[in-house]
Amino acid sequence: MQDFFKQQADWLKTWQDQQEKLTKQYANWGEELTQGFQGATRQKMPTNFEELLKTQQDLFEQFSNFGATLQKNIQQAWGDKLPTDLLKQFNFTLLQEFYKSWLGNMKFPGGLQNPFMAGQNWADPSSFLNNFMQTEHPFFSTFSNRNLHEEMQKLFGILQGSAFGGGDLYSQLFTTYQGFFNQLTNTAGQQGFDKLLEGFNNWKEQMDNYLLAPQVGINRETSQDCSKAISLSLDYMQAFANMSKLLEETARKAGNRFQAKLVERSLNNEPPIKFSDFCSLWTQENEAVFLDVFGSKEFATTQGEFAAAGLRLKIQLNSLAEKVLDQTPIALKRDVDLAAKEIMQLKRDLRKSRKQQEQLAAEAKAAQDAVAASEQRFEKLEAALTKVQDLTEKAEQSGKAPTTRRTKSAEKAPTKRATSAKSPKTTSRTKKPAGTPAE
Amino acid sequence: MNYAEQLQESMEEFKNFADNLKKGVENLASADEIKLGQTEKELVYEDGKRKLYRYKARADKVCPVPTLIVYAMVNRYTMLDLQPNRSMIRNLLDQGQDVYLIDWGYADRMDRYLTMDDLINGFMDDCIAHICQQHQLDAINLLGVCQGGTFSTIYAALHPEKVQNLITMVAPIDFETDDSLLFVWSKQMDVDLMIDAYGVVPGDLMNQSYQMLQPLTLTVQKYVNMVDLMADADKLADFLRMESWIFDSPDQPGEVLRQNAKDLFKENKLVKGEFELGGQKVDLKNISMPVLCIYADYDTLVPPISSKKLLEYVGTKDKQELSFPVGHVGMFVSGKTQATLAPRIAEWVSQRV
Repeated sequence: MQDFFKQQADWLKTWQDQQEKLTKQYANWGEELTQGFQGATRQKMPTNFEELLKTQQDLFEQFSNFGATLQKNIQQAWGDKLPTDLLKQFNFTLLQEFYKSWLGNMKFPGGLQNPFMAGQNWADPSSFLNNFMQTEHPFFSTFSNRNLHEEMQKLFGILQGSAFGGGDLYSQLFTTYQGFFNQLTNTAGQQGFDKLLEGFNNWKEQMDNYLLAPQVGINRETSQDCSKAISLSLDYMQAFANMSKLLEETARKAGNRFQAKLVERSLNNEPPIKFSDFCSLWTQENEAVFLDVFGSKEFATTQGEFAAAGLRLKIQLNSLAEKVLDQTPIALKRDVDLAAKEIMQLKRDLRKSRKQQEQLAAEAKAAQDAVAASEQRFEKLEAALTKVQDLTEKAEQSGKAPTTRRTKSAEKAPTKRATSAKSPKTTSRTKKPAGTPAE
Repeated sequence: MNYAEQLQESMEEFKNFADNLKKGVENLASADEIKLGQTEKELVYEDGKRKLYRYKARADKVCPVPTLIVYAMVNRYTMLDLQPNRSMIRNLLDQGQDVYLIDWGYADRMDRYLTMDDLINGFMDDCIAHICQQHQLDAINLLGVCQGGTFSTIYAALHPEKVQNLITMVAPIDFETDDSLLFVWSKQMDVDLMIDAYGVVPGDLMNQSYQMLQPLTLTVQKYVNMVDLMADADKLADFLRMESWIFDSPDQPGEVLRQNAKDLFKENKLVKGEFELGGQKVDLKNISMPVLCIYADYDTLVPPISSKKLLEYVGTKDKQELSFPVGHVGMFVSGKTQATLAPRIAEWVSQRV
């Protein structure tokens, strides 16, 4: 690891030296260029113009290399420390796009268009944004064709490697199907989607002739499943096209707004000179348009339909894969789910039993406490009774006790004694463990 | 500003940008592991992945009635204890509160059939019973955050005798509003399909929909801004801690998400008095204990109106709202808010125990 950090430090030092050299050189050329303009006619091309361009190009390449190397190094240094999804966000290649655009938008004196990276600057912000939203933005890329395409590739791998009946027909079907999704990845614009959908629809009809033709045996169910998957794929492509068109349109509006803002700022002699200002302006102006659209019912519905179409297709593909794997001893998701459901129910039952047990224990304790309290009361009564008896006996012996009182005590005493004599036995039985012989 | 000055300024900024990147990479290479939730705590009860922690007291005089914090399932509770100088939990402890916290853990495929009833009438109830037993109390304070606030409200309505005071923070209660894009989108999402397809819905998918609330600020601009703070090792560490929290999103148990999305987001059953849990109707009028409703004025995830509507439906007369001029996350990380939030909660609680 130490070597890695040393390598990093060396690389950074070289990069910074080179950067400083180029920056100074660029600034010098710029100053000379300005002086050239001031001393000559406005439209005259200065002699050092090509050199300025070259320096600008070098600067940009230097910056691009930095972005790419930085990304690689962060991945290497932090790959085991940060969540993968966080690392994905460190997308420095985007910075170079901004930088290119920023340089491209710098104004030269005399109204001369900056010829840096001619034709490659922020000429088409909508395509950049559209591409970004569909392929780089995590939410869209989750549902996007790229993601689904990967899943399908895995599925095709499973299906083609299995003992799936149908031979060549299925093999051809999968290959063509995969081809359509490959095209979807690279399709843009209304016409492109319309053409692709038309092609897919024609192919689907041809396939249905084979797949839905009367068949016997195990292939019948498989064919119907495949036909359903193709129908759902068509729905998905349609939903994808609708979503793409909406995003493309939004990106175009957003790009136009951003460019209009740039012009406005330039006319007011407040062009975003700093890179950070340029980025902030870009984010602010574009996001305002996106959020406006995102808040609309149209977007919510389109997004809902897009997600639903993708999920329906995913469910069908999962089901196809499970049917194939069903013949193997591999545990399927549904097996795990079934086990999870049973375990969860057992946990609930266990909790319920535990609660009941706790309640019974509480009731038992309350009963025990009541018995103990009764015992105490009996013991006190017994002690009091014994005392009374003793006193009575003493009184009888001394012959001083009145006859009436003695008679009453004498009548009641045996009954009380009998009751109190039984109490301890009853108590001791309750306290003894089950199976202990009674006294 | 003339051209030469503009160019000079641009070049100066570019040089600073490059310098920051260089220092930033050095800082990244030498930074320690990112750690969140460092305030000292003890595990006091658990049921599988779900755990109950008690935080170590930090004040001499401690409130006799403990407070149980219930955080959302969609993110991790570590937001409440991001770092020592940004920790709502630490601040509450400093204010003499006896703090317990539920950690829902990370759901996996085995939680496919876990329900809201299992969580609220099950684990939450067990935790409260445990705390009551330990402290020999009949009721404790409940502080629910975000989705945890919704759970706490439901619990308080079902078991009012076990809740002495209810505090909700940035909690969605009324889902009728269209003030949040999430509320708008969720009404058009077929959650049944999502659960059939995924079973346990990936946390990343949920997280990405939060990023869509500010699609370019959160995915591009934030990382451009990062370059400016990379040169400062402390600021970079703060940034990485926050990023670690953002991307630490547990997967969502299918049945919990289904009821949350359908009964709450789509049909708004809680405020209509139609929400059911474990076969029992949840009537917010049963909330007879004092209620403190805290919300963020600029919350784009849970609009203020959704939170503060709670006070219209509860049965208690002792109810109060408290707002801060921040966003959803700002409630927990803004230094200004943190300076007053915990003292205000502690003061409100101490007047009612």
